[in-house]
Amino acid sequence: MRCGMNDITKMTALELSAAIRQKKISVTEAVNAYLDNIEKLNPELNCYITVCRDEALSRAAEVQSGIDSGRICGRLAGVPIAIKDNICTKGIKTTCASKMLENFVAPYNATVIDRINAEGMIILGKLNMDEFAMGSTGETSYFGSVKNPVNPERSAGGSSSGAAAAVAAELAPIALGSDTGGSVRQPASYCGVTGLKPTYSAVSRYGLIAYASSLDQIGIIGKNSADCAALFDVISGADERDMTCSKEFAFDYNSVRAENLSGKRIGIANEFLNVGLSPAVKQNLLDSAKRFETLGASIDYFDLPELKYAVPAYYVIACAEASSNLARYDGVRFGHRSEAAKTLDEMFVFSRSEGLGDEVRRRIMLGSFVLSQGYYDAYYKKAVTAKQLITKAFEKAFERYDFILSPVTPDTAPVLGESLGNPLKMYLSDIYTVTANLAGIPAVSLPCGYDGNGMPVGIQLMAKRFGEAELLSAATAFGKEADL
Amino acid sequence: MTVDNGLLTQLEALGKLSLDAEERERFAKDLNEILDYVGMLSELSSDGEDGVCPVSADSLRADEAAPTENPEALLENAETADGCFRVPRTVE
Repeated sequence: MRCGMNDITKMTALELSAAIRQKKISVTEAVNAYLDNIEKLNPELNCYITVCRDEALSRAAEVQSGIDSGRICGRLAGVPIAIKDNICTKGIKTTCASKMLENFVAPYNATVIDRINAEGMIILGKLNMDEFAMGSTGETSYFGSVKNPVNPERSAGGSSSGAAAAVAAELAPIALGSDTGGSVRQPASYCGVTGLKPTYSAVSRYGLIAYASSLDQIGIIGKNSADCAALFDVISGADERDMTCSKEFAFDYNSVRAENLSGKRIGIANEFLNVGLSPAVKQNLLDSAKRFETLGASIDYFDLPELKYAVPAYYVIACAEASSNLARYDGVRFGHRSEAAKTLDEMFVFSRSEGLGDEVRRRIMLGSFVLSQGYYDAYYKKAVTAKQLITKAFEKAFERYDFILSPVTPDTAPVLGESLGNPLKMYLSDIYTVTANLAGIPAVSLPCGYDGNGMPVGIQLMAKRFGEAELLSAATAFGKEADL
Repeated sequence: MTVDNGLLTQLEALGKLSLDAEERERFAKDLNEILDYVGMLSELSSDGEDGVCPVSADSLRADEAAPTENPEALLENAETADGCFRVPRTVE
């Protein structure tokens, strides 16, 4: 029996690829189902900056013929995918949601793009985001805010706002995002979908437009943990074009399974419950802990006094690296060039001032400050110290626990327009997510319930470095138990 | 720590940015709030190792030249002349 368009977009990525293999659906039908949804809903939700309709349809025919001939046999062959617009896609605009790169066409593919192409996946388009991944609400985009599909008056989160909203609204079955301080996990939580931030160095960053290189990691937003595991298997692994990418790590996909968690120990830091947590998020965290107990895990509480340094350390380090990484936008080789400039120096200053938005310029100035003579020791070096303390505290915790459970955010998705005028308030909401980036560990954000306004609530599960197989197994088991 | 007019001008120069009067006022306020908050890092007594690299030097690939797939494409996002990037004249 063949499937209707509605059925297609309800399927998980793995269900869709199975249906394609069994010839219940053609690849073109799958792509068309999503293109139809994008046409209907994207004008309101604003998930996509660029929709690759023609390219996707012609690629669908090519992939179908590859599947039919046996040349393409990837586990996710034929599955459409959407890409955050800070990941380079050859011949397709890659804007970083910035006026600076409004017309930038990437001359090469990121490594992850080569890998999803080899798998036989089909790119639907490029997703909206906070400008240069700097923001937690999706509102710093030059192309306008993304609306939360659950309630369009509310933020979809950020910075991978388009990725989370697209998966939640069935405008893509799965998406690639990036996570520097929570940018995959937080929007996934706000939109009620699953977000994986892998271990730092598990996925090549070649072709990911740099924000804060020691923290940036490409991640996945999907309908569930099993889909995230399947795509992680495709994109992870060594890459000689990214020297920070591990040569030793090999993801054991076949060991990922939803199973009883008896014997597994889960830690919750006491501090997680004491930092301005909303009652709904706190209750969902405690309920989730109980669900893990019913799956056989034991729950224990521990102290993590270093948590209070996480947000300050994150913003000092991220802004310092951003001020250096974004120096490349000078109007010379790519990006916006001011028409008003007469001299070389004016070209640099005018191009950057016209091309970069408020939040990006604020972070460049903060980064310039913490790296400048006289302040470097007081801010940057202290932040590096805090990062090391947090990393050690997590290493110590993982001697006692298999996983650490936390909220994703202190509250659910804010109303659009509420956060932009107060950058510090926006930064503080990153408290639960930045620790995984500072410690370089994998973390997954899982939908677990709703607040009184009907907005999704998520929880975060973290594991030790390269513990993705165990993490995704526990997450899959939780997903089946939660039965949302 | 206070971000005053002088420091703001220095940060504009370091970041190759130019702010108008309204932006200067707003950014000074934001930066002061943020620096007040991140100032809690000063409680930490020990200093971490500087410039900790996430990978060891022996994991670097060999420093060997390799062909660029499509050098022309690299020029297509810029103003160019004779295969070079074009910028305002710097010498008379």
